[in-house]
Amino acid sequence: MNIKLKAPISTAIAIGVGIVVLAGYFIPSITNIRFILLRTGLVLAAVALLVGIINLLTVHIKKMGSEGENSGYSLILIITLLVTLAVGIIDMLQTYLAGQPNFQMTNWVFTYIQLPIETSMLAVTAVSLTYAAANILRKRMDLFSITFFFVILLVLLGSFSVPPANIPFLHVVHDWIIRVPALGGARGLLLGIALGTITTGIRILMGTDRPYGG
Amino acid sequence: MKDILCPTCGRPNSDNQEFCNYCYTQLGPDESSRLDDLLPPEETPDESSRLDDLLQPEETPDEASRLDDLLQPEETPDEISRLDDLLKPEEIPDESSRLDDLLQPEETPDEASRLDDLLQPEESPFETPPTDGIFTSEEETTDHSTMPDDQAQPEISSDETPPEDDYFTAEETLDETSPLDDLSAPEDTQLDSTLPDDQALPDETPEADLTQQTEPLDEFDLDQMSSGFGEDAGWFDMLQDSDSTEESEPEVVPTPTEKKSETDWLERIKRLNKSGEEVEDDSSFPDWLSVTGKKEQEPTEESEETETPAEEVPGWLQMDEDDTAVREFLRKKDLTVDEITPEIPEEITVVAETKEEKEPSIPDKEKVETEHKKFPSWASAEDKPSPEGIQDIPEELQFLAGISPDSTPGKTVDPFQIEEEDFFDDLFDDELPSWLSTASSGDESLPIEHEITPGELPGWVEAMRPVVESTDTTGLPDDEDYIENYGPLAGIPSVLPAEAELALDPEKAARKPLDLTASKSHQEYVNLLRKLIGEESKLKVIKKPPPLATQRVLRWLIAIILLVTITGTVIFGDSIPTPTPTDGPIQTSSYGALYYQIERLKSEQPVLIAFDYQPAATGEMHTASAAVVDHLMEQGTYLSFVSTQPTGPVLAEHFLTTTQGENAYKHNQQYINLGYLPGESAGLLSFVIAPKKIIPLAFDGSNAWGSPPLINVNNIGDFEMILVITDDPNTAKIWIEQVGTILEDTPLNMVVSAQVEPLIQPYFRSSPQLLSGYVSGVIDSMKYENLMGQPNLANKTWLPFNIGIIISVGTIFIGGLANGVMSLFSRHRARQIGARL
Repeated sequence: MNIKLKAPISTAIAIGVGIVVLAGYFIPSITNIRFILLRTGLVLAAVALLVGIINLLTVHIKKMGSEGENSGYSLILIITLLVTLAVGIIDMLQTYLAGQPNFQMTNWVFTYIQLPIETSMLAVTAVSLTYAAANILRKRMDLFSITFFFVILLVLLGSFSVPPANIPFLHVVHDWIIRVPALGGARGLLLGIALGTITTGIRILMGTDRPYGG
Repeated sequence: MKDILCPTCGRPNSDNQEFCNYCYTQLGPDESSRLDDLLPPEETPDESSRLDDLLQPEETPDEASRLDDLLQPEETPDEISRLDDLLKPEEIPDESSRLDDLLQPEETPDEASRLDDLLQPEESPFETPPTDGIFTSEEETTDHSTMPDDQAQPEISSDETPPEDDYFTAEETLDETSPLDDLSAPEDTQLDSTLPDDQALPDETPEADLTQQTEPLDEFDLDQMSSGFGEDAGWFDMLQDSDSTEESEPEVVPTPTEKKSETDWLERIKRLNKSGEEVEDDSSFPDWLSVTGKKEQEPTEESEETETPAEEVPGWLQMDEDDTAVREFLRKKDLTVDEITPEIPEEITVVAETKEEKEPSIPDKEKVETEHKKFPSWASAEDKPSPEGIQDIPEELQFLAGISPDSTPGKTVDPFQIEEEDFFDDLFDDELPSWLSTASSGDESLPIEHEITPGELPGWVEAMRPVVESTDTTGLPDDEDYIENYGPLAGIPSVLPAEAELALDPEKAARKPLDLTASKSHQEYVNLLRKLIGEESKLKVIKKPPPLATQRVLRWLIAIILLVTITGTVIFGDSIPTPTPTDGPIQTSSYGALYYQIERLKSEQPVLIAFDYQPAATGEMHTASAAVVDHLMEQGTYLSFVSTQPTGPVLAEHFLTTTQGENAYKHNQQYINLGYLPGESAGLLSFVIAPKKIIPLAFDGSNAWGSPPLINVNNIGDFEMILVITDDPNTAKIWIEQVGTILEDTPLNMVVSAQVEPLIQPYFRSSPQLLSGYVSGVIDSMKYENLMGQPNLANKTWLPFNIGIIISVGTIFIGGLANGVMSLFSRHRARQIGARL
């Protein structure tokens, strides 16, 4: 007899854990049980990160073997991952052996490789956003686009205090935009997010939504 | 050239055509089938037509001899056997062989069987057996041929006329006496079948000879059908054209016979007439086979009515002179009875008198003979050949003439005999059908001819016909009011023409204009569609785009301007004095709240700082948080670094190295790096409940909670302050929701990117505050530094930051206006093009 136990068991675990953790907010006596479950979840999350790294390595090894167009990039990624892992392991060993934090090699890799690359990406994003803002009226010439265009200009003009553009009125406008329309929009956004989170939690607790599969 | 009417559409076609010109229906299928029936033995035969072939009236003596040749059993046994096969009862087809059906007792259980029962040879052993019985087997044929002559024809007297000429003369009058001929046909066939086997046939192809006889056969069949089907002859006459009818009309006149035909089958008919009462109620009999003749009496009565003397006024026209009402009417009108009596036209009176005068002119003897004309000529003794003629008959044909081989020369044997002299008087009395009476009487046939002639409709049918005539000569229906012009349905509207689809000329139909009512708007749509279709076929030259697009130049221009100006301000910005941004009320500001909270902290108090930002935001976050962390260090707090991002611990170390190098904070003495906290919200919740259990070791593997400031920390509320440095609004929200809701006395503060400020502002400006204070971006950091009075990174980057914003604003403004104007022009141009189209 072929009985599929995976789905019912996983669903029962998810619902049970969710109910216990939720009840922990209201029932202090079950805080310890909730904490055990949360701690187990943290370990599993850390293991999941390690599993993700292994999966990334496996996928790119397969890509390298298929001799596709991007196999060279996969090779670079694998080499970089292995080098960074080796640097981290070495720093960890030195730290544990010496008893003093020693992450010089890891800091060098982060400072001179990862940080400039990611910062440069964000800088390019700044140029792209500027270009997009300048091009918005070309793509769409309607009321919302024009409003968005002039709000950008007012907020930016009210952000700096360089003499030619240091206009007190613009600072007041800037503060009003941040505190009134932006605040109202953010509140509505947060309420929507909260409602969505509650709905999702209820669905998971009822077993209707099973993101863990099954 | 004679026209042939199409049986489908009724239109005339020339007789040399096999298919109808209008509907392409095969013309004269019977002809071909009859021919083919005689040729291949396996094909379906038509016995009656084949019998009729042998009885062709136009047949010449040569043809007769050829027939005899065909019937020679020695050399053409196949043909004989074919005939036998064809005449087998199970192969008898349709109604054309109705006579044969009647003569098949075993296959026709209905009315024909009744006739056959009546025709059973009870009285005479020499009664003619059924045709099929004759031809079903060759043995029977042999028996007949070998039968003694005195037994086969016992009552034939030598004084009677030999039958050869009768045989052929009878064939000449087959048309008008077709029913009788049909009945006699088996007899003839029987004679043919009794040919002696030893008689040789000339070496001729029988098929060719028979082919020449097909056309007269058709006429015979048509006449036979028209006269034999009685009431059904009307529709058949409609199918005949006038020419063919006229050709057949002379044949209607029976050949006068002076002597009665004496045959067995006539005797049978006689008996039928006597016993006709037994079957008179049987309506299933065809009219022409009716033995009672009651139905046929009607036209006879009509003919009698036509012969009413002209002087006699019909009874319904007779005026009762004794009627008082009539007298009163005449008295009022001053009229007499003679004046109101209708006058008979003089012509009618003359014709009637002439007719009466002519009739007595006929001698009595001829009258008697005329009465015998109702019999076939071949049955009459008038055409008996002279003994000299008998001698001229070849031996092979003498059996046809009734000459017995054993008889003495000059003694002929009549194959047909009658027992009584007044047979015909008894036979054709009142019980005879009218058509038989008219056919046997020359005087009485005239009214029939006038009554219904081939090609004409009966008067009552003609009166019922619609009088609407169509002007359409094409035969194609224009609309629902189409009226048929030809055939039996002529004059009837709304008839589906049989030849419509076949005779339709597609080219003419395509050229036929449509009766569409198109309005002006419809025509405009049609023109527009035509124009669009026409433009589709035109070639359009697509201009090759310029190698460097304008927008790409703009993008590069923006990048170069920003790069140059910001780099220049970074390099030379220190020498340029820049005013600080306008400051509002510090107490109500977010950075002021944070500032005052830090000011309240004391030395060695534990402060938890979360480095939850990405390395890409390092520049902004370091600038924004440098002054705050520096302020904390100035207060002498014990810093504990934690991060929910994998890169957070390294970023924390990098932050301390790059921004707080002057403070020279030492690990495990002034700060502790707890490392990475996995699990996001779950990890934070666990860390809130039991931080020591969740992260027992520091980033370097040392005891995280062994330092004096952290010994008393059992939960997150034991920290004096929590500061979250993040560039992600979701991370800020998780910290506020998972940690800020639990904290009671511990303030939760944040240093966030400028993009996060709108999202965390509600938590700061709400009551109770979930967020105690925050510093947002470079601007708040600049204010914070000004509040502290110690310029830091924000002051260093303030001028390049402002220059970059100015350039960005200028670029966005100029580019936006330019693009907006271009968009307006392009839309206006598109509208103009659309208006032109």
